Amino acid sequence: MRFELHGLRERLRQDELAARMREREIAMTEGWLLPRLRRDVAAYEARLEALLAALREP
Amino acid sequence: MTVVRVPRSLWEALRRAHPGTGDDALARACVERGRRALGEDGLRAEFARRTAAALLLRTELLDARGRAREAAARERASYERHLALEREVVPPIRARARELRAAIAGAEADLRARGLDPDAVAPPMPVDALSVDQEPPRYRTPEERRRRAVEFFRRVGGP
Repeated sequence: MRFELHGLRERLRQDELAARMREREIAMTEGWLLPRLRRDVAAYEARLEALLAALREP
Repeated sequence: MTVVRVPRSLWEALRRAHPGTGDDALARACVERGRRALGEDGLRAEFARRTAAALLLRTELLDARGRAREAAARERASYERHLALEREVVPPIRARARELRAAIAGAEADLRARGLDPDAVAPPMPVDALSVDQEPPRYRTPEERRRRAVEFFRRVGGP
């Protein structure tokens, strides 16, 4: 039982550490990277639309 | 026959404490005293102690199994979410941004060919736009990854 308890605690520590690190990356991606990318895409779309409108003008 | 080893210094101290008692009598007295201490009551107490310790260990084990299951589920969920973000959510947005940048470059070239200034007719590009033209970098060590991440966020001012 002591041996199993030791193994479980070690696995628990590793799983919690891995989950915490990955959750931090997920939070970074969802809270920072995706909003920035979407903002960039919206700006590109606005610029492209204006450029194409200018090109359509005679 | 049971052999009990006693440290010499302890034996000498015993002899000093019981002057006039022979070695054999002293040894018999010691063994008899030990038997009384580990008599019926002593064994019962020892059994109770060991049983309690085993129950405590079993409780800790059950608790640890439950927490290990929860941690494994949390680790698995974070892995799946991270994988979904990296494979299904971020790449299409990056691809769309690349596509738009290429279309913008083409439209700007056409406008310039007509003698027009693209910046005069269209809103500007974001000055701190994220690079979408490069593949994600590969790092040799976790330290390098951490250092590059800190440099990156200092440069772009976030998060």
